[in-house]
Amino acid sequence: MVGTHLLDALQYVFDPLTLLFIVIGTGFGLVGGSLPGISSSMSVILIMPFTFSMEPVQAIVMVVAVYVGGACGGSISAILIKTPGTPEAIPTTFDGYPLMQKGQAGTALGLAVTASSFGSIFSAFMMMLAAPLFASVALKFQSAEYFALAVLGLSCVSSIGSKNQARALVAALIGLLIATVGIDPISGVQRFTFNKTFLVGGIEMIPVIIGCFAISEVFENIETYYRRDATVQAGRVSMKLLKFSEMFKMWVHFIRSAIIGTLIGILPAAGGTIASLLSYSVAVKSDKNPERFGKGAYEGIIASESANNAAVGGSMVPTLVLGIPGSGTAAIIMMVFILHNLRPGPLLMREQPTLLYALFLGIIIASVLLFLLGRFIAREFARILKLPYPMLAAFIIVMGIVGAYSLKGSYYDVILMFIFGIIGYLFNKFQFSIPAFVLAFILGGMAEKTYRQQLIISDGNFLGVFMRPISCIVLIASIIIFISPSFKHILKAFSKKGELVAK
Amino acid sequence: MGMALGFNGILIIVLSYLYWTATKFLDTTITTDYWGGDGFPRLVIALALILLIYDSIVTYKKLQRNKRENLQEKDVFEKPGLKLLFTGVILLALYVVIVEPLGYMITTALLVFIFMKAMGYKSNFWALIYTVILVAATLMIFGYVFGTSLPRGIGFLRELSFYIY
Repeated sequence: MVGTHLLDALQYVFDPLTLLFIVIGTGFGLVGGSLPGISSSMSVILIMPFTFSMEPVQAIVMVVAVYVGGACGGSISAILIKTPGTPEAIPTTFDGYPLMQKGQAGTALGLAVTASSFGSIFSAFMMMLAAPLFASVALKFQSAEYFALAVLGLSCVSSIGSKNQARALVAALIGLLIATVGIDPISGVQRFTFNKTFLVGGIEMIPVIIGCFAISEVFENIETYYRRDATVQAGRVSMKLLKFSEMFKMWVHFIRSAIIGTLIGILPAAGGTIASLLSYSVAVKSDKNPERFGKGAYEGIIASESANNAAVGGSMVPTLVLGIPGSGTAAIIMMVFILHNLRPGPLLMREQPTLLYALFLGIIIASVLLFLLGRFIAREFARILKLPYPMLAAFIIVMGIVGAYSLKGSYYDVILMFIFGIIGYLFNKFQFSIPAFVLAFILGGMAEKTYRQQLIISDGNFLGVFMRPISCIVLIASIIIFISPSFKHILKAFSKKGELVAK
Repeated sequence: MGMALGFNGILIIVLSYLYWTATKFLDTTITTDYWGGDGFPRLVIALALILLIYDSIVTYKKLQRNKRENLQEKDVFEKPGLKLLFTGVILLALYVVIVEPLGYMITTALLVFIFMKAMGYKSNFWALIYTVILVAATLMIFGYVFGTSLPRGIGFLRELSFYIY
């Protein structure tokens, strides 16, 4: 029975026209993803009108291909110009850009595409094998579990981006504070809005990211421009794939990140950004030398990219099985289903198995296409690196402006981008970790809201988050992860003292 | 390190002001909301202040030690590059002020051209060509392909922009 449906799906998907749509979808997603301000969801929205007249299978595999391409495309600009094209690619910037500075942009791009491809394929298999089981577990997640996940994501803040742990923590706390700007989701009180209407809705992620990463980097380079070495020319950047044996050494990172991405993707409304941040956080904390991260660690790119693409397949699980979208983009894909008279939910799994297999195959083909199209798009995008720096800086600034503005059509976002550019520049100067700041800013809203929701549920019990088994385990693990570096430090100091006394 | 102390001081002042602001948030009407709207921000600020004070003490001690041992301190900012940096920041600040009335096309073209010249790019011809290409390309990609509504300016500039993007 399964074989028949799979064969039917193969026939549908390998139809030349459908294949062409998958190629166009993946390419469009990659380009959209690489442009700051054009998220995966926006790319899917833009391609949606073209799918109205298509067959349902063609339409659905095409939008899913856009989603897969978009999740990977963000890494291209994150690595090459330190501007994550999509929020999912934020952690890719932490290690991708330092690799670019070391002249290893091709390797970084190759790693990003390989990890993205692996993550998508892994999650597609998971989607096919255990979708109903995962969906039922995901529904059991409540605020306590979401809070625990946010805390797990935050547990690495003291280890990334700065040697000074106290300042890294201050940066993270400031990130948490910025996340509280706007209307409080529980009480409805306005916080830190200073009677400015543009702050009522809170501070958006995109202007903060572009400002902190891209604009601050431009400021830094302008300052040191007077002592530039004009003889150094940027070489041709082409995607380089590591040897299989080199990749195999990092298999743990590939698989662990793909699992995290798939699981987080399944959780309704969690999405690829949380998945990549959490995966990066776990990668940092589980490494023997966490100080390598943020300076060009291959594992950092793998953790981020494998997880954010795995979230694609993951987010399709609740969408297809329960009719509850796992992410914003999955919600838009659900619209495509509905426009073609297909209602996602338990009945769809039973009535349209061929369609589900086609979707599964679509994700796999799009993931393989990432290698071919990613190579071409990255090479073209990398041409801008050959420009003289005044031109490159102007390009980055203009992309930042358009990226920030296109979010809501508000020029206040452009102002915020510049303000965060200055903050990022000063944080860099005084060793306040920008990655920690951004990570806390993104996870802060979720952490506060879910903790307060749990407080209400548990009738004011401040330890209520420990009362549920999953959240309790995750929280204890987070605490251990958080204090372990300090603990090691103290132990080291004691053993040194002991040695001195013995001498 | 003296600069770092100064920066910490600025952060302490700003965060203290924000703490004071947070105390003015309206009280919650939800009786089961134990923390209220101000609980989380106040906790976060308090922790940040404690860490900043700790870091300031550590930095001050280091500063004193360096003075005693006559150790030369590395400058945080590179003075020769600061003039150019300020020019860049002022240009961007001006951009933010005039982008609404003048619209994306004119303002961005001005910014790109002046910015490149300020950074010492010599050829006027190539600077102009690059400006035109960059503005036209972003207008085409974001304005046409992705349908982003870029700032159009006011008055006749707004009317004019509808013919272009």
